[in-house]
Amino acid sequence: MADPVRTTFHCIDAHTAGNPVRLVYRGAPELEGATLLDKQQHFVAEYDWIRTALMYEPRGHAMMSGGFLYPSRREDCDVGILFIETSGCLPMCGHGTIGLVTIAVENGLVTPREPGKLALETPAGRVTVRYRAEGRKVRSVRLTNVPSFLHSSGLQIDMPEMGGTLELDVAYGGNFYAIVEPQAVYGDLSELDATDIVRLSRLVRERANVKYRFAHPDDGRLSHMRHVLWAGRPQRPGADARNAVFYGDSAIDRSACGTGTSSRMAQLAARGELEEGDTFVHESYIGSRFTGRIEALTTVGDFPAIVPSIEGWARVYGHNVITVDPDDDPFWAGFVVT
Amino acid sequence: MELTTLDYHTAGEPLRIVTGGLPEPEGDTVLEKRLHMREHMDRYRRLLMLEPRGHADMYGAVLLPPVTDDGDVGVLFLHNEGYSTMCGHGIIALVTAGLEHGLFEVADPEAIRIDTPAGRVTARAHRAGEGRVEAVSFRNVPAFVLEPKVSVAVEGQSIDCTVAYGGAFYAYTDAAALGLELVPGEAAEVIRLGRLIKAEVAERCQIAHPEGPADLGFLYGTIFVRQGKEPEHSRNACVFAEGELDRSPTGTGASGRAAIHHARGDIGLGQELLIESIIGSSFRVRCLENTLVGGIPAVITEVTGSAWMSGEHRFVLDERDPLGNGFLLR
Repeated sequence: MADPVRTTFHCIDAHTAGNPVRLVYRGAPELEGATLLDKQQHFVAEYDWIRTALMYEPRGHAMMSGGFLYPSRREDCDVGILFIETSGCLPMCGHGTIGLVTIAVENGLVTPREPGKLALETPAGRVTVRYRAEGRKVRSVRLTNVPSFLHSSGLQIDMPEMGGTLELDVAYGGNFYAIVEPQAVYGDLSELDATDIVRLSRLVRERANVKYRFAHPDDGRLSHMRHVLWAGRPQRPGADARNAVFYGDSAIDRSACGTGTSSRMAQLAARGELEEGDTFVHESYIGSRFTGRIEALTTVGDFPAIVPSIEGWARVYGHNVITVDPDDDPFWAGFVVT
Repeated sequence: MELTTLDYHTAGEPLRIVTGGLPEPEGDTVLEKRLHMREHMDRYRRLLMLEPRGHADMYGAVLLPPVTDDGDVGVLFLHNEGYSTMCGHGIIALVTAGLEHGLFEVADPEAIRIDTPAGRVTARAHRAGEGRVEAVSFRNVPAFVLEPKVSVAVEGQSIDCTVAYGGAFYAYTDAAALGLELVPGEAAEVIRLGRLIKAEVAERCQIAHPEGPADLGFLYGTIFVRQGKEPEHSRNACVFAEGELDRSPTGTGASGRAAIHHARGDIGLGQELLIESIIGSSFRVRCLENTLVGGIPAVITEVTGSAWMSGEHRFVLDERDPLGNGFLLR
């Protein structure tokens, strides 16, 4: 690991439908590697302290997430994005993309070749976005996500805490998600409060990862299931479904979760409940929404897959200068309370 | 809307100090200003403390002109639910930030006089010249035991609590009796039990300050205590407001602890206790002198701890933002 030094990070903070996104535009380290996935590996090996300092308390909190912009060497991409959050670096992050694009466009941190369109290189691959402008502000962002697929279905884990066996599907939408739908031991999301979601999700994640293996057919480095999606009935008219996504140590996504919504659409498409061209309005735990759409059908390895798009909005709320001093502050690298 | 803040943390617990953009709360006393802010300016607390700008464990301070002839500065404290009466970690961060950034004029750095809702608190900074403030000690409002023993039933188990005041009222209880080690991985359980115990004690016990105004008469939180190997060494975990868990050892809670141990004869004047937090940071506390509060034996305590800067913020509100005024999920 590179020796941590006293650093001042300049950030613009926004939230995407309630979930925070911190874009660090000054203070990011120089990273080696041809691709963003290579850069991410360099970052994890040498600079993970920057992630923990900016995401963990006292400078962040359990729900914090964010990213850095890097130049992309790909001809077909405008810019590269490295995502950070409390649990580590994510190959792809939907709410993060919507927030980072909104911040970058509104503040002139990226210049699109064609107004209203951007092509991003993420560790998970190329992601294209379209955004709707409102003067100098961005109204909403629609991102076309990486191909998403149902990886396995009908998995069973013991959950005596819920009264028996819990059945779940695992789908990939940029990250692997355990999707829990209403069943004998789980009535609906409305029955779980925030504490229940955190407590039960930790158990589901741990037990599913012990019993089963999840790996992307195209790149074995994209593995391990870190997210748990609790599906439920929408609470307000106009939405197709509701969900709460658990990630990190104790975070519940305040947004409807972009990669989670992609995974959910892939699962529903695999069951024949959604078709190419269909939209899917997904409600978050706090009532905000993303609108998903199946743009095309494809395959990933031997898996039938969808190309999903997700539309949502982000709003900037702060311009922050964050100081980290390893020589003085005993909590310079941050701490986690769960 | 534009609000600027200077953020510090004391032993891990945040303090977001407002430096600009806030209208001045009205009133002649700090308690009147507190009431005015609660009734007419609560929007600002929600903007600064709740998500998306803050989080369930955020804490803040609003600086006021002093309300006394000899005061240097006044202060209101903000959290996820409302406005506290006194805050020890807040005083430590406030004095550190105040001196390091020149936020207010100080007549005597050895006795910085702060007007809090609970009354006068006097602080001194441990600082070499104009350099970094290494630590802050403050002389707190008088601390006393209100109820030596209150028994409450929590999930079928009888729990003994002591209610004491050190700037706010807390129910103190033994962590070991509930199987708690007070380590970071237990946070969810500590918060859950803390909320249950606070509700039970508040139900069972008449909370009133013998001399102070009615505004001070409420139970602020539950403090779990785990005794260390040495008698002077222990760990605190404080759950206050709406399930907020203090990352610091809790300054007002440490004062209450000193009052309890002094009343029991465990410690004499001047004898120091080292109190750790759930994340392993620490405060030191000692009793300076005996006094009386409305005829009840009380002690003047001094609490010492350190604070560090974490950032400077300029917060805005996009007029198109439906969630930007603040929401809380815990």
